[in-house]
Amino acid sequence: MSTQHHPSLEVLEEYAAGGLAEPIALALAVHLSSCAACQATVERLETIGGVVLDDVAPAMLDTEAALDRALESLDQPTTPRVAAPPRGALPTALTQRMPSELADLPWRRIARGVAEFPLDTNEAGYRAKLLRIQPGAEVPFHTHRGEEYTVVLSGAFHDAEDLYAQGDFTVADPTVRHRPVATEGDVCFCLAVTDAPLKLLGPLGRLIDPFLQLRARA
Amino acid sequence: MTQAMTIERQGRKTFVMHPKSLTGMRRTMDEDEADISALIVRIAQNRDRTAFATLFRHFAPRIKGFGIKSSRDPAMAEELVQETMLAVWRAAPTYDPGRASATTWIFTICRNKRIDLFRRRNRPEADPPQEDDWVMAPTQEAEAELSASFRRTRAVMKELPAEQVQVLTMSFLEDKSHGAIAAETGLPLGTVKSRIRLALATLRQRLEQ
Repeated sequence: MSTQHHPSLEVLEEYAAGGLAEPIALALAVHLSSCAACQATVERLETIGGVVLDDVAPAMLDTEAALDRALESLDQPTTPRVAAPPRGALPTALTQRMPSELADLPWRRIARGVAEFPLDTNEAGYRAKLLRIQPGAEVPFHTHRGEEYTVVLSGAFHDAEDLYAQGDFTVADPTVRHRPVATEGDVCFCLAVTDAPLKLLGPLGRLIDPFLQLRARA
Repeated sequence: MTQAMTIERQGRKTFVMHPKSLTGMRRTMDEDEADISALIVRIAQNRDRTAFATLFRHFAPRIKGFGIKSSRDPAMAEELVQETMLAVWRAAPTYDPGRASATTWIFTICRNKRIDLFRRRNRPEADPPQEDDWVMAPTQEAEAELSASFRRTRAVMKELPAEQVQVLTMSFLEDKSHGAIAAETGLPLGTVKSRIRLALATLRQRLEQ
């Protein structure tokens, strides 16, 4: 099945330019790894960067001294890169940030049939996590204080609007209130990145919500 | 100090150029891109240090200028020069002239090194697409097309309204998200995004002509 939901052109521009916060860039890298069309768009956008680099005001530099230094380091052995162990069909950008395979992660249950594993992102204000949703299970009804970027790693989920399958990329903002449900059949794994805590709706949500906020700030 | 200075150092001439001294020295883009591409290929095939030195002299002052725009720190910007050019040396065998124009390829390395160095985190990189997802054009043809597209991108960018060039430049040059551009300029985020969108729509339209 080919990808149906893509990032907007503006987000692709931010990724090409390099200005995206790391957790969102990660969501983009995961989508691009399975979407040749968006990757081709990013490559076209990078041409703007080439022009900008060529046109930038050159800075004062003792070029020959800098060149001598560079020439000396050319022959230094490269520190062997520790290749990320293969983790199935997952993109490298993601497996580099995972301590183990999906199945072996210390998942934490957040609702019936739904578990999460927070990824280390080191970027203030953002949270990135992997979600594991059992077939037919539903993520608690929620809306968003900021934006939530979701990429489907495997399986599929749907909400009232649409169906999202492997590779699909979607952004939900405060105007979106939804209750994603994994489709029957396969377990659905997603990467979800938020730039502000989710806001749970419904009676249970209101009880849990202050706790979630505390945890997000911790 | 508005003129190019020549410094005698260890019996050899070292040029320290002021930005203004470079204007008027630029040749046509086609020549530049083809020359730069050939240098990278020589590095890839022969580990050619002379080619590397030529490439270094062309790009080092630009990369430093690029680094200063985002870090405001000349020492960090010089580190960026070293890291980028070393990565160019090492990655040259993976350079595909049919995939990206030469300067664009060096921009992507410089951008990634900027993120690695200034944020102390590796940039999340997409895996390359499966070969059969791509319609492979003959390399020479693709290279000529990329070079022409680079030249046209430059020409179209010169004609864009100043307000669009401003946001595009802040985005590519200053390592800023659209949110950060909005915060710095005082523009609403929606305005930043729509200016980016308009600029990209113009570029796409004009490049397809």
